Amino acid sequence: MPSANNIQRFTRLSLFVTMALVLSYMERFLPILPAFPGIKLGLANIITFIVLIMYSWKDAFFVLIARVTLLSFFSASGISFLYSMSGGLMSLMAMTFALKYLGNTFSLIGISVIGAFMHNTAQMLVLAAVLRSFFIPLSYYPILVLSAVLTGILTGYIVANLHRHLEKLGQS
Amino acid sequence: MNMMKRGDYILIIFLLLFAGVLFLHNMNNIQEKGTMVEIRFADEDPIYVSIDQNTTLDLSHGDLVNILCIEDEKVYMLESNCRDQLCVRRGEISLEGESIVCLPHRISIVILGTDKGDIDALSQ
Ligand SMILES: [Zn+2]
Repeated sequence: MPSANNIQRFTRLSLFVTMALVLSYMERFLPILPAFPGIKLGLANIITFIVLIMYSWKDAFFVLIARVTLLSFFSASGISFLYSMSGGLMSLMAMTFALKYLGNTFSLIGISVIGAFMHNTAQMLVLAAVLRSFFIPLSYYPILVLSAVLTGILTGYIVANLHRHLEKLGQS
Repeated sequence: MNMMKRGDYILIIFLLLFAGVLFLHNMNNIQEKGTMVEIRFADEDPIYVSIDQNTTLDLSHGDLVNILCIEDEKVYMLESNCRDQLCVRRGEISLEGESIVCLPHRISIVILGTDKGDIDALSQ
């Protein structure tokens, strides 16, 4: 028998998955840089991160897996699934760790930058594994690191503000 | 932003320096015009084509269509039926170290320089 608590939790998670999907989908309409594949704003990470802060890594894990899996139904290639999943998992693991043990050293912005950096590093490694060569991935890596810093700051800034406002609204 | 901590700044500066050093390191091999085109598909052995011949290569495997053009010492993906079309939108490349990747089809194209040692080192 599902308890009221469980139903509430599941409803909440579904809501977050939906928001993450909408953000991922919206991002497809932003201009991309063809010279640098793999550079994205990663707006959906805002949702993963806010769930991680306000609830638990398990909830964030569920939201991440659901988002990447549902999104992969729209894109046929198994490699892009592998690409998003590895980046997302690596980033979540790093942020969970940083939030727990490095919370005094870094603010939410720093933790978000760590997550974005680990995200792009995982993708670089997957690219190397898929292409069986480090040469091309390494030539993209500097720009991936730069973009991780910029998108990490942006995501962290949004999450920090969002978190502050949600806290003010009351612990519900 | 008063919400940021000292660790944040140190982390950001460190990562920017890291990216800068890697970038400068990569720039060392990307200046000159290339001579060879290395084409890889999945884990098959790469094939090498000289960049000074004008040719169109059919890199298709089954349903996965990729047509590569080498023209006036420039290389570009003419056509692909991949989902993201990043390889086609990548445009022309001609310098040593530049590359075109079609990730959905596991194809990568990279331009190499004159040094035969480079080719041996890369294709181990
Ligand atoms: Zn392609």
